[in-house]
Amino acid sequence: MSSDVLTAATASALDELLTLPLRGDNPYIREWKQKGGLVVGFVCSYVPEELLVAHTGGVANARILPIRLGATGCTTTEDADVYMHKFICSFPRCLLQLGLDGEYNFLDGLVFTSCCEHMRRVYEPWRDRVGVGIQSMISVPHANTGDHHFQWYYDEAMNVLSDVDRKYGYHTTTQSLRDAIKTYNRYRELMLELYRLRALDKPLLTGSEAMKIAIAGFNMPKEVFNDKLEAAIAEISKRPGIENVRARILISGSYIDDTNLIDIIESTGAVVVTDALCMGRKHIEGMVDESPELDPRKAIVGRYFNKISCPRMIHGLPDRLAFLNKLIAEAKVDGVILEKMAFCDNHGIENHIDEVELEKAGVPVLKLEREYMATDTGRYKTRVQAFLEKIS
Amino acid sequence: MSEAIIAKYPLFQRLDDVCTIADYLLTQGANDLEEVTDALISMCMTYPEHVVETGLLMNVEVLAASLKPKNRSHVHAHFMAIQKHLHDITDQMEAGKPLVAHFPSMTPEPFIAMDLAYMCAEQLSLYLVGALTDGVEEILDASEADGIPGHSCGFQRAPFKAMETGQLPMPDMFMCTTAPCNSSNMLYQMMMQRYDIPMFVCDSPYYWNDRSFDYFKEEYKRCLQGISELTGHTIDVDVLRERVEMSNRQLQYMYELQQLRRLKPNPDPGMHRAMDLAAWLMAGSNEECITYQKMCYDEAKARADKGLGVIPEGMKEIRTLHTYGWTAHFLSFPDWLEDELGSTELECGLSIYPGELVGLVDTTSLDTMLDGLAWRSFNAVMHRTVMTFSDLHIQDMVSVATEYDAEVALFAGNNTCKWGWTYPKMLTEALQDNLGIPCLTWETDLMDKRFRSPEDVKEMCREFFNTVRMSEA
Repeated sequence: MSSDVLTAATASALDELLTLPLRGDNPYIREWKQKGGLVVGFVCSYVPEELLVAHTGGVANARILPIRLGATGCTTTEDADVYMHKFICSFPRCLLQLGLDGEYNFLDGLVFTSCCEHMRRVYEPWRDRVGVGIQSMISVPHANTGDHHFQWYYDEAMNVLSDVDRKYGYHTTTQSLRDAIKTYNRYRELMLELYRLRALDKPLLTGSEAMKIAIAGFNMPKEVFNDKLEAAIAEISKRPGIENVRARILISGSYIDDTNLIDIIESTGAVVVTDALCMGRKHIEGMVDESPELDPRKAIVGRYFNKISCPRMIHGLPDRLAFLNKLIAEAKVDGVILEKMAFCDNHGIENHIDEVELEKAGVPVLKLEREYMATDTGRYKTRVQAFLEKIS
Repeated sequence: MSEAIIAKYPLFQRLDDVCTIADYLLTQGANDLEEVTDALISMCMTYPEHVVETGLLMNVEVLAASLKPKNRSHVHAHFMAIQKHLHDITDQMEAGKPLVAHFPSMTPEPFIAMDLAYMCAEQLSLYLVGALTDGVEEILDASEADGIPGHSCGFQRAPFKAMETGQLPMPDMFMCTTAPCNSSNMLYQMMMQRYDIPMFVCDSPYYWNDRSFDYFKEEYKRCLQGISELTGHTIDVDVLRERVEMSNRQLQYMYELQQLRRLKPNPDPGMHRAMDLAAWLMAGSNEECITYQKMCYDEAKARADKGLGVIPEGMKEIRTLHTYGWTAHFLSFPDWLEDELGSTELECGLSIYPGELVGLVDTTSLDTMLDGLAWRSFNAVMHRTVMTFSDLHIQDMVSVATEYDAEVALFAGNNTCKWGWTYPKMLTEALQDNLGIPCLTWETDLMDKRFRSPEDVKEMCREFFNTVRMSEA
C-alpha cells in the first residue's frame, strides 16, 4: 500500500487527514479494494480491530482493512424509518439509510456488537435489505470483570474470525498478530500525543481538527495513518497555539463522527481540549500488552475487555467517573458538555449521573440532547453561549 | 403481616388496600358499579380511612371488567395471592431479613430457600398503575424532574423513584439480568452507584442456544452464590424443593391453559394475562398463586367443555394475537375488545411462556433445581426473545399465529421500549404479507396513561376491526 496516495495531491499530511473523503470517495478504500483486499466495517469500539487486521490470505496475500461505520452526510432517514421507528436513535437509522442507499456497497463484511438496543437491531434490516459478504455479531458481556466474562468475549471474537476464515480463506499467524499489535499501539501512542497537544495551556489544535483526524484514522490503513499522523503532529507542534481561549471544554456522551456540534461550541471562542467519547479518547486509552510470553489473541482481546468501558458495562461506572475526572484535571477543563442522542438510554442516564457527580465536585456541566443530523444549530449555540457566560 | 412495615411504605400500603378492596367487592357480591359504590360506602364504616381513599381512586373500567362473571373469580384469587405475597415480604422484613430486589426475569424460590426478604419492585408498582386512576404518573414526573430522561422506561423509573422517596423500601441488594435493555441496566447501575447497593448481575448472552444457556446458567448460580456469601444465608435444599414443586404445579396449569387458547372459540379471557406474568414472578411463594392459576385453567376448561367462548353470544370471534403485550394502565382493554368487538386474546408478548419448551424443573437435587430455575429465567418474558435477534420473537409470533389460527394482530408498543420498536415492520411482513394476518400497530406507554388515552386506542381498534369485518364480508 502506497502511503503517498494523497500527499502528492494535497499540501500536507495534516491537510489530508483534515479533508479525507469518506466511504466510496475514500481513495484508500478504493485502492484497497482494487488490490484485492477486504474491507470490513464495524460499529463499536468493542470490536478488536487488530484481530481483523492480522488476517491475510486470498488474492496475493491481501489483507483486511477495518473501517468504523459513520453516517456523515446523511440528510434523511425516510427509507430507514420504515424499518426502525422514530423512537430509535437517529445514528443507527442514518447508518441503515446509507446502507440502503448503497453507500456501503464496498464492504465485504460487517461486524456488529450487542452494544446498545438501537445499534444491535440494525443487524436484521441490514442483513435482509442491504446485505454484505459476512455479517457477524459479537455478544459483548455487560461486565468487564471476571474470567468467565472475558472467556465469553474472547470466544465471541474468535467466532467472528472463524467466519472470516471460513468465508475467505484468510488466516492469522502469531507474527501477523504481533505486527498488528505494534501498529495499533503506535496508533494509540500517536493519538495520545495529539491529545497532549490539545491539552496544552495554549492548545495547538482545535477540537474540530482533532475530531477530523480521529475520523480519518477510522478510514484508512493504520500503518498509513500512523505515518500521516506522525507528520501531522510535527506540523502541529510548530504552531504558536490558540490564544484567548474563552473556555476549555471536555465533551462526552453519545457517539459523534462529525464536527457539527464541536464547530458550534468552538464558534463561541471555546476550545474542546479533550473528550471522553467512545470514538475519541476512550477508543485509544490502554495499550495491548506486548509481552512475548502472552498469547497475542488473548492480549488483544484483553485490552478491549479491560479498557475504559461504555456505559452499557455494569460495574464500570466508578472507573468511568474516575476517568472523566482524570481528563478534566489533565486538560485543565473549565466546563463539561454532556451530549446525547435523542432516545439514548445509555448516555441519557450516564450523563445524569455524571452531571450530579461533577457538580458535587464543582465542575460546571451543560447537558445537550441532539439528533444525529445537524439541526437546531441556533438553539445549541444559544445554550453553549449561556453556559460559557456562566463559567467564564 | 407486618402492619408497621406496610404502613411505612406508601406503595405497600396502597397495594394492600387495593387487595383488601378487591377482596371485599368481589366477595360481597357487588355485580356492577352501582353496587360497588354501595359497597365502598359501607366500607367507610368498618375500614380505615386509607382503604376507602384508595377505593375512591380505583380504575372504574378495570373494576367493571373485574366484576364480570368471566373475570371475577380469578381476579379475586390473584389479589389474594399478591396480598399474601406482600404480607410474607413484610413479615420477613420485620424479622430483619436482608431484602433482595430482583428483576422480573426470575422466580423467587431461591430467595425463599435462603430465608431472605425479596421483592420484584417493578411487579409491585404495576398493580398500582393498573388498579388506580392516579397510577404512578407523579412518581414518573418526579423522576424526570430529577434528570432521568423521560424516554427511559417507566417500568424501572417508577419503582426506583419510589425507593428513593421512601414509598418502597430500599433493598439491601439487587439481582438482575442484563436483558432486556439498556434502560433497565442503566437505572440499576444508577441505584447501585447512588446508594452503594451491591448488585448481582446475570449477564444475558446474545443468543438463544446451548452454549449461551451454559454461560447464563453459570451466571445465575454465581449470582445466587454471591448473595449467599453477602448475607450469610444459604439455600435450604428442602425448602427449595418444596417451593419449586409449588411453582411447577402453578406453571403446569399455565401451560395447560395456553393449550386451551387454541380452541375455537377461545375459552380464556384476556384480562388476566398481565396477572399471569405477575403470578409467574411469585411462583413458588404461596399456595394462593397456584389457586389463581388453577382457577384460570378450571374456568377456561369448563367453558371449553361446553364449547363456550368469552365474547357475547351471537358475536363472531376474531382471534387476536397481541404481538407486543398488555398495557399496565389499560388492563381492561382485553375485556373491552372481547365484549365490544368479539376480539379474543390468544397470546401476548408480555405473558407468553412456552411450556413445551421450558417444561418443569427437575427437583432431584440442588444442581438440577438451579439448572432448571436458570432455564426458566433464560426463557422468561422480556428475556428470551429480547436478548437476541428479533427473528426469535417474530418466529414465536408466527408459530402462535399459525398454531392458534390467529386472524389479526395488535402491537401496542411501549414508546420507551427501544427493543420493541426495532422490529414491527419485520413482524408485520411476517404476519401480514406471509400469513395474510392484518396488523395494527400503535405507540403507547406501558406505565403512563397520558401518552395515549384509552379512548384513542378504542377508536383506532373499532375502525380496524370494522375494516377487518367488512373485508371478510
